[in-house]
Amino acid sequence: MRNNTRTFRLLMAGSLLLCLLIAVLSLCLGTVNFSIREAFLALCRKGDKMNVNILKYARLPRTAACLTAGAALSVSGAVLQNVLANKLASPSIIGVNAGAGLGVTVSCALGAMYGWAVSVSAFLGSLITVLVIALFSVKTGASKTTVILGGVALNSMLSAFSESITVLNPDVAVLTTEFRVGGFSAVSAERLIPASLLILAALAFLFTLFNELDVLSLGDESAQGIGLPARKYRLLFLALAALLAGSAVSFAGLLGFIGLIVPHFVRKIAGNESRRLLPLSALCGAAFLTLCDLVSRLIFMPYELPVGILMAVIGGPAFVSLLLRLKTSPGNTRHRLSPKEPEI
Amino acid sequence: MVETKNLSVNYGKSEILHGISFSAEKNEITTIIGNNGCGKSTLLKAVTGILPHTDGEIYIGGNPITKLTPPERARLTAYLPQGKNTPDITAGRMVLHGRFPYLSYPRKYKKEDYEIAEDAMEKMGISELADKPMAELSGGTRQKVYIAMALAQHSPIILLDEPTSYLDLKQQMKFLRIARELAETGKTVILVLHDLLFTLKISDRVCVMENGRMIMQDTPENVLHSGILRKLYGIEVRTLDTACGTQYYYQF
Repeated sequence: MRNNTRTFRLLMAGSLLLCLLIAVLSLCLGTVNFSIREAFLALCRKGDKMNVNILKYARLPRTAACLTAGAALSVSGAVLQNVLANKLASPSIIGVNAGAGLGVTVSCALGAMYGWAVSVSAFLGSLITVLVIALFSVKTGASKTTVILGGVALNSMLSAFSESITVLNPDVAVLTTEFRVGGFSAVSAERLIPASLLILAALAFLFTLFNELDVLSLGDESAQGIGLPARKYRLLFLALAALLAGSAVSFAGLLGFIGLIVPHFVRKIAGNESRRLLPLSALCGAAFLTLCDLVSRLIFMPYELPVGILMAVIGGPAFVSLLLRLKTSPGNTRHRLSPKEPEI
Repeated sequence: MVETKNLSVNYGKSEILHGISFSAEKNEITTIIGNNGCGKSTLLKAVTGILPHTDGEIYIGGNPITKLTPPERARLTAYLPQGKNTPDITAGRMVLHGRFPYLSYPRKYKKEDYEIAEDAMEKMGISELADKPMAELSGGTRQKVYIAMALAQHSPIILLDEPTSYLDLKQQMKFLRIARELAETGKTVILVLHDLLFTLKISDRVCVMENGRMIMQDTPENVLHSGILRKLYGIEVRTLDTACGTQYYYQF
């Protein structure tokens, strides 16, 4: 039972090192390159003043934003996949990100452009969306493909609401191209700090609930049979997934696919048990998004591509391949939610 | 150990169980039989607290079920449902989750929990499958993993809904021996079975249900000789005295 512990520890250590390496590269590389020593000095507020300013106001918040958003969206995707018993679920595909986007748009339209108001609005938008999706899948007993299609429809509706608000109130400058596709070029500490605090708190809490998440995947009757109030915990996990996705969207925009690609990659290398899936997804998600952001700002230098475009280029084919694999794998209907399965 | 008084259970607005009074004692195997849809599984779900009851009382080990928290209920009753998911976890982890009711937040399994889970797997003959994902196991082997999980729960009352489904004949016989051993070690074993021959052979008490009502509770001999099985199923069960005791067979 504990044979794989050593492999898991090695994977965790490897991912952590990779994450640190990519973070250092993200701090050092860009339109102005720094050596590691220069970057370190600038972080200590020593050396060239311009270097200090670039690191303090651009590179550091950007790298921190990539790391937190990557971890949050990946873990949110992994949790949604387990709770909805649907391997195609991810915050961007089922409309959770769009719900958060609408929350941010409404908040900005009401004049609250920064800080906690934006983070909380994004959370509420994503929470309402995830509850609607969960209710839809349970009440209709929809197959996983139908749930995804329902999510896509909801996604379009929520985006349309956001667009309408922007048209009616042009002062809401939140729906920039970068926000729509997701990106970090204009990330600010005012939005990053409250959202990051919410993300860290949600991750810390989730990392104490590995066994509960696995027990929930046994099905409601089995879970209740071993003493887990399934309904309450399903709601709790959906709320935490929404909090993670909503907080990330509040400063990163509507980043797609990361919540799908990363958990699936981690499931392949470390298995499906939550105690391994969630921490590794957090590390791999942080590393992957930071790397994609680095590539997107270096590839057409001095021009910068919003990272969301690169994510879509990678994520689109990955999603189709996953769809085809699930369609052809035997017994995939087992993941279908029966009408009386998860009760919300 | 388990007692219900005038128990009624609804699904939505329709009443499924109508005023059921029944009891199951420790050291005994109590088997519930009846046609499909008569309410056997609903009764087990109500007794384990998974389904709320609309009327009547349920006592688990002398305690009213309404006074027990979900973990307290799970420490008293292990329940194997009829329809089960196939989670994306290994068989070993699955059995280990049988120890879940004994953990408090933040729930971490201890060495003792691992040992109990390993014992349960050994009892079901699946120790070598501990690292195998559930999705890669056959239906019968998965059923054994689920039964091992219920055994790892170490509860004084075990309720198993059609535990022999998916098992081949050899495994069915083995499971029924395990059920007998459990009863002999002081547990209250409640089974839902469709096989009347197994039911008559291994049960200490048989409960017969029809249309949400308990129509008879008695020893296997009395149930057999009452003619209720013929009336309910339209078949004849005969007995044959052999050197190995009374054997049962269907007369076609």
